[in-house]
Amino acid sequence: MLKDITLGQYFPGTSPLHRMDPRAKLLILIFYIVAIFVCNGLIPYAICAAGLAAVIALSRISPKLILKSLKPVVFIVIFTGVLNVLYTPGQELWRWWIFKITLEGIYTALTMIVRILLLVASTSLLTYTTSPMALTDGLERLLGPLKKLHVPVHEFAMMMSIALRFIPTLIEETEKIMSAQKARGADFDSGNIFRRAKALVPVLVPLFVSAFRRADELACAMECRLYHGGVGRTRLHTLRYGRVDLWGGLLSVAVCAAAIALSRLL
Amino acid sequence: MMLLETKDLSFRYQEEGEPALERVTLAIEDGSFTAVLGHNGSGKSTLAKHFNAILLPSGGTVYVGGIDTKEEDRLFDVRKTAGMVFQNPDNQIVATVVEEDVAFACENMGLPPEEIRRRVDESLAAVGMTEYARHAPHLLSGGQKQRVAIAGVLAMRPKAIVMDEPTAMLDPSGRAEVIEAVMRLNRETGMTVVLITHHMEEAALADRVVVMRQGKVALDGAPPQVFSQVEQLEALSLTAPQTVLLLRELNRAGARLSLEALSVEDCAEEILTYLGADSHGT
Amino acid sequence: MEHDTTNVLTVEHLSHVYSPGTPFEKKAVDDVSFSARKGEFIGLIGHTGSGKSTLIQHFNGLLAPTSGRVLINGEDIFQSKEMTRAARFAVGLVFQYPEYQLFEETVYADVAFGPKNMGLDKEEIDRRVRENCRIVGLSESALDKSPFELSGGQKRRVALAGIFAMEPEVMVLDEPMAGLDPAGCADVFRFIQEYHEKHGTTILFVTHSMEYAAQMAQRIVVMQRGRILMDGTPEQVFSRAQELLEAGLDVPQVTRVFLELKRRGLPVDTGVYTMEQAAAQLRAMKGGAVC
Repeated sequence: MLKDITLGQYFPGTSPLHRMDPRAKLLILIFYIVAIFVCNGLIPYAICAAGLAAVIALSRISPKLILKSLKPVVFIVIFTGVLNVLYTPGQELWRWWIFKITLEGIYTALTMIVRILLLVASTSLLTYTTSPMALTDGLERLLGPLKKLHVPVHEFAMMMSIALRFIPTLIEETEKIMSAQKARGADFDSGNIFRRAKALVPVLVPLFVSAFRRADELACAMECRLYHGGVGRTRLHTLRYGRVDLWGGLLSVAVCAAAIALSRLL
Repeated sequence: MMLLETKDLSFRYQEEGEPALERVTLAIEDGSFTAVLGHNGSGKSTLAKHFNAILLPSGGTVYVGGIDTKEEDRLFDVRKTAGMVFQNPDNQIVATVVEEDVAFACENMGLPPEEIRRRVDESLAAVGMTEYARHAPHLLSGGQKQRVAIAGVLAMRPKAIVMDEPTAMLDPSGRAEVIEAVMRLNRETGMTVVLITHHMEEAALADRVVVMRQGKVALDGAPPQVFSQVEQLEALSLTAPQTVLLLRELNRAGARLSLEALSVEDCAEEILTYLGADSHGT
Repeated sequence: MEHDTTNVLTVEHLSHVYSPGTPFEKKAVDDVSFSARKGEFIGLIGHTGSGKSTLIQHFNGLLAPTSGRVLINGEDIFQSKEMTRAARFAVGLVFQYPEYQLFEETVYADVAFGPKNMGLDKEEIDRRVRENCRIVGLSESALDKSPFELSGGQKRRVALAGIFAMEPEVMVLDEPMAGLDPAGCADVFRFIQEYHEKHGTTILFVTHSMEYAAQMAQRIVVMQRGRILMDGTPEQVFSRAQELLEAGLDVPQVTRVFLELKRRGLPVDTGVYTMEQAAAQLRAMKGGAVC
């Protein structure tokens, strides 16, 4: 059933990672991503990987879930790997027709693969341990200064959070409409791709009509509850950096800095 | 004191079209519980939307807590005085967590977080939803969602709640939950309640019933008075509660019972006197 | 197993479990057996979550049972793909708030959607569309309008006509009056009765309201927690009014008046559910006392 899809893939928990401020987590993630793209060499990457492994252990998220998050990028990883191996100029190890494998190629390929894997694993860890709402909130506040440049940060965040609120409602509605049209003999499962696309019209039209009606009513209800954009708005839950954020931040920065420093020195 | 007042209120959705409201003059007292009945198109929802300045009069005036709703710069004062609850519980819940939704109006008012916290807790308690504070709204029942919506309005600390068919989409137990919460608010905190509804039994619980037809007030009075006018109600194609109809049926057969016994208990009492006079020899 | 040939729809030991094997596992229907005879008018009553909505989606094969069978005219609807598809058309299902499924450009085209999917020829579709639009009180001039221009009550009529036009052997209606005003309810009530009289279709009418069920149905089935709690004539069901109240159902006000009278020691029969019955009983008591 459509309903069973987990959204944002958030796994609630009480680990230090779950308790961290979403802003701290976002900042650390950004720093970490910079580090893995600046690093070079076996030892720095080992440090980065070990750091991530330690954080995963701390989050009590099953490593299986992290591996699962890597599945969708397997193709990209293989593709970039092969391209890098075959097309990086350098010391030739083996050659056949127009293909040649170089030492540098193997080295670049491995680096790229490690980078992609660490990037995806660390990002997934963030979404696994942070609710979509908290993420939206964190983003809104981190990007807050952009409001001065008239970037509609609040509006985007509000749109995100309303979308999150209504996705389950609309999924349920889609199922209901599909059942109702099936009861009138609609057939969604047979025929070629064009027939199937056409068969969706009886679902999409009512769905859009209903989504517009909902949007209208919601806008009215929001205005009745004094909504007038982000100006002068306060929040029930204010984000506050805590001790866990301080230590988490310091440790992460230390590890990343060490990895970067080593790759420069070696 | 009159909290909500309309004077010669007229409204047209289209300039050339039929008036949805025609010269309605109505005053709703502070602390009262008023039910507004009528068919679709009778103008009852249009009336409700005027108490919140969602609609502005085409003619006449609407006062909310003494403020003319046409005064643009006092719009928020109007909406803070008379909070609005709508029919579809799904389409008025904004946040993904119950307590954050209840906080929404307070956040818009720019209140400090501690004050918001206090009001959220208070409002959730008032509708008996405290234990659901951290739940996701889409997993609640219809009656629960509607109570969350009421709490969201209560957090503004309004003087009145105007409810536009809040029970139309609910099942009987959801309806009972919502009505019970509303009655408690009215009795215990003196909240002024305007309830737009189709259900006679809900209207019978109010202090006052206003029946609308074609944009005008057709009947207005305490429930026993309104509902005992069986013929007039039938002419408006509304039916009186079964209790009244039963007593009238007995009156037709020669009894002389008061049609003002609306509730099940009062009706039973009336029947006991009817039978008791000779069956028990008392 | 022998089948009563007059049973159009039979359900044998049907159970349905949602999300089996997960923490969300929920038994919505639990070993339900029942059958509907040709032309019967049945009220199916239950609280939200009693399993009635899940149950009815088995009748036309939208949901497959976790265990048990669904038979139409003695044939298992899940024995082949063709049978399941045939069940779609043999059992018409009107969902709650059916007006939210309208999608075509005109009322005519929307009502014709079901009959078209049945593969009927043009003349037959035309007859069915016009005839059933007439039953639900839609004028000829409304047929070319966009369904989205109509009022809420009118949309509901179009949606009903859409299922009526499929002329199924069994028609299941899930809360067809939900959200309508009293006049709208009375209209829908009348259309269903008219259709029933004209076609002799078996009708299963799902509702929360005991009052409607009492007015319309010859037989009432009450569901609670996925099982059938009661099954009988309105008299039989209402004679257990106290149990109905305990099951969280809304019994008619007259019935509640009689329960109150009984509580106060008056020897009344609490199986009443219409005003006429109630008044007659009270008058008889009064008369009896005088004699």
